[in-house]
Amino acid sequence: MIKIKNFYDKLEEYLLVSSLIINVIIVFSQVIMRSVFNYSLSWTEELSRYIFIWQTWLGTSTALKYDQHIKVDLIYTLVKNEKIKKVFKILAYLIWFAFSLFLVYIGWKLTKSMASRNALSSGMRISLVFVYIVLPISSSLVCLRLIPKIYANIKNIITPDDNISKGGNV
Amino acid sequence: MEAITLFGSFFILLFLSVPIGYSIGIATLLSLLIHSNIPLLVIAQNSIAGIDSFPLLAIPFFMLAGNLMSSGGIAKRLVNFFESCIGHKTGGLGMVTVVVCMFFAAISGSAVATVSAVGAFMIPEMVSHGYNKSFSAALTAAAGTIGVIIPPSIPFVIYGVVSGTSITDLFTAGFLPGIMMGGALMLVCYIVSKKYGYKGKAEKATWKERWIAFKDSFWAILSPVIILGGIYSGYFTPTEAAVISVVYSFIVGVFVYKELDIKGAYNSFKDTIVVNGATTFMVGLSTAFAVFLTMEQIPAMIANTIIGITDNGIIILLLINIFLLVVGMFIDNIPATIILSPILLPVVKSLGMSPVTFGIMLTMNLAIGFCTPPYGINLFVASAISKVSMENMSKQIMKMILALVIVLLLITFIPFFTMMFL
Amino acid sequence: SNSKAGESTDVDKTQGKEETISLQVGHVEPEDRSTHQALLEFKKEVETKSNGSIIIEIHPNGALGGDVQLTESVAMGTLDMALPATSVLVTYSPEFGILDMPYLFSNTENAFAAMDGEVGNHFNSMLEEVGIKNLGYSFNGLRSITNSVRPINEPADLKGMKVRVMESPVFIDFFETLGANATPMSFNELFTGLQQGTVEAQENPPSLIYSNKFYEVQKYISLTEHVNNFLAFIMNKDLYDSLSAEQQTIISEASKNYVDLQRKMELDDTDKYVKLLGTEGGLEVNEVSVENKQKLRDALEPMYEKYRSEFGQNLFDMAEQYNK
Ligand code: NA
Ligand code: NA
Repeated sequence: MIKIKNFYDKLEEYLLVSSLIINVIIVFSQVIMRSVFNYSLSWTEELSRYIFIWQTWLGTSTALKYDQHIKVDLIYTLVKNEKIKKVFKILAYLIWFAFSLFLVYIGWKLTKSMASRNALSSGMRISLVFVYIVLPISSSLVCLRLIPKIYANIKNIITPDDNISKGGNV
Repeated sequence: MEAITLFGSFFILLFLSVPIGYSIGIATLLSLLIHSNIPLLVIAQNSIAGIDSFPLLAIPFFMLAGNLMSSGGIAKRLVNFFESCIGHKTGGLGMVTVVVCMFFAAISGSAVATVSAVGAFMIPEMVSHGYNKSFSAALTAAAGTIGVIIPPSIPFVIYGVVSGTSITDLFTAGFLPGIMMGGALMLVCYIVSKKYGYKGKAEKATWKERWIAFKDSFWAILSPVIILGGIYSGYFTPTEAAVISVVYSFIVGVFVYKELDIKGAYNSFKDTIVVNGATTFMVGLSTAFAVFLTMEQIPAMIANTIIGITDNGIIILLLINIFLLVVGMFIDNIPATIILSPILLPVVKSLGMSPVTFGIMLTMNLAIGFCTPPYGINLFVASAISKVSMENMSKQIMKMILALVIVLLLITFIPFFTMMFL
Repeated sequence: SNSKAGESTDVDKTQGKEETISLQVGHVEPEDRSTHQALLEFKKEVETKSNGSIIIEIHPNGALGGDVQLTESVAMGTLDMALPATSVLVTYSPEFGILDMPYLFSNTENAFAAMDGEVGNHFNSMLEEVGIKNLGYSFNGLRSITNSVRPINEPADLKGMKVRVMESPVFIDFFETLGANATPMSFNELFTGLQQGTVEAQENPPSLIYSNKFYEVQKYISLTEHVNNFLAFIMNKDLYDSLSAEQQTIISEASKNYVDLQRKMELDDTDKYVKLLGTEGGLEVNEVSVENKQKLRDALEPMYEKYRSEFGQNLFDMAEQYNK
């Protein structure tokens, strides 16, 4: 299980880094082709936009892995009791989890609706399903990453253990 | 009622420390469920369609360029040079940050791009020279707003189209207010630095030392020249300029300064995708938020309320500024510009304000919103880059917001500042 | 919104009394264009004829998204009505590309007749399959070319010119066939692109060129009038079907009146804005003679060959019969 997770973590990161490299190359070649060879590639803008959309939503999962999502932590300075702090933490995770689950559901519904209309992109004529499906996929990943965090915090309330509360890198 | 559900739930979620982007999505979801028959699919649709925009690619590109400049030695040399010039002065390095932000503003059309490009190398530099970390992050977040005021500026283009105002005029009119914002922030920096004794070096650099710093930083200084030159000579668009600066920083870092190794490059890319993943998806969810507002005509309701309060022009303008500042706290500037300019423009026109001045005023208001807590994309990016908490940064940013608001009021009430070059 | 409409017809059946339906209409045009101005009349007519039981709420300026998003929104029911350019409907069928073929119709009257006749109906039934009811084709104007290099009269004048095009294969082929450098660029970046010379030329209807201030950064407008551009007045089909027969009639009739009025306004505007672009806008205006238009059309024959095999000869024949 841990092996699979480590493998996936690497895969996700390499995919994202590659996506950025590819976009740099695509947009850079667009500039070179136009300014040096006076020829514009017609498919580059669309492709780079779609890669960007994937990069952004899949990035929400990696941002969660590195605990980089932006929140207002005011409550943890107001509340002094460690147990209550953890209860609030669990609550925030649960709300986040529930909304991500909603995004999985609604994103899947949207993807199916796209598929039923066989909507195609205007430039490359690829199915828009491949673009929109990033929402349910990335939101599922966010859910999967949140479960161990919620579990660790609950376990931590029942049997307090400093090691677990520090291990946020799930 | 709708407004109470929307903003009330948003604040509660923020207070519970639910990530801000998701809080917007949840607040929209609750409002849709309780108050409207708009299908929930609208959230999923805007999550994707809201970020399906080529100009937005400038965000990760400029972040990456900033990271590469930082790890490839460009940033260090730029800072060394500017430091040798004014680093010995009180608050010198902070002022360098503002000046560099103004430089980047002239090559990027967005505020976030400016923060990410400059913040990645200036915040660590300021901290390593004894500046308070929160102050450094806050100053960069505030100076980044200049990115949409000094041309090119994506919000000006959008406002021009929506309101039928000359975009050339808007671009021309934006220069002076942008410089004024920079000046105001440098003043804040000076006052704060005087109080806390922030200085770069104990001794003033000699002219010989400055020459050496200049030679060493030649390729670094050339970078804005190439990018600016490229845009103004028409070789590339602002988004493409971001990519050019990525490629340029990479080449200079690897082949000229030989400081960028595989690990440094990889980390630059990785950090970019992490920060992009933590920020840009919000644009999508806030587009859904804006669609709900539009369909329920909430902005129109608020605008009518403002007009209903008084017929005193000065008070109306003040109220509009307050309203826009509040809107800017929560909503992205592009949807806000699209929704609000058609509603507010007739009001300000009847008070004798030029549409150009209003465009600058609107954009500056919403730009200040980028760095006002609780929701401001500049704050988030600066926070993500510097690892300073939102609370600490919020405390520091207040004086800078005050300075920017003073510039805003000057722009609002003295047409000279926006009209002098027209 | 549509669920409200669904509820109201239920009430209609059980109690014989109607509830108010509000229909949200989105489009990307500025408020001063005919698309929006005529829509205000549509709103008046529908609201009056329905005794206020149908309310129309209009959201201009792309406040609810660009054409692609508006169309998707109507198809999936997150928006009730919209007015996207037919060019974006290629999302559902590449055949819509034929409507962007340069000089497909020999003049505007023929184009109107075709869109109100067999050609329009052909596309309407395609839209029905993806859940869209099309209420008519409003006129987005005659597209012409502006640039900062030289007046365009013959195909050779376009050689090597950097022309911004929509991200659509037909427009790209159009300019590439004539030897220009077709550069797809988003509309938001277009003004800055023209100003800074990233692209030298663009093509749009005169009223749109005027409202977007492109004259500030261009020198010439050549009245190539290469495409009669249409916007589809679309509505979510399930929503339309859920309306009572009486409500459907009100909407259909008002739509027909809308299309008539809007076309008339846009035709007047075309003349008005060409003049304004020459005077206030300071552009050098050049008419393109009938012979030169024919030269352009002839030069495009290879492109026609390609798309005849792609869209089918039948479709081209269907359009061609309106040119007689
Ligand atoms: Na700028
Ligand atoms: Na804000």
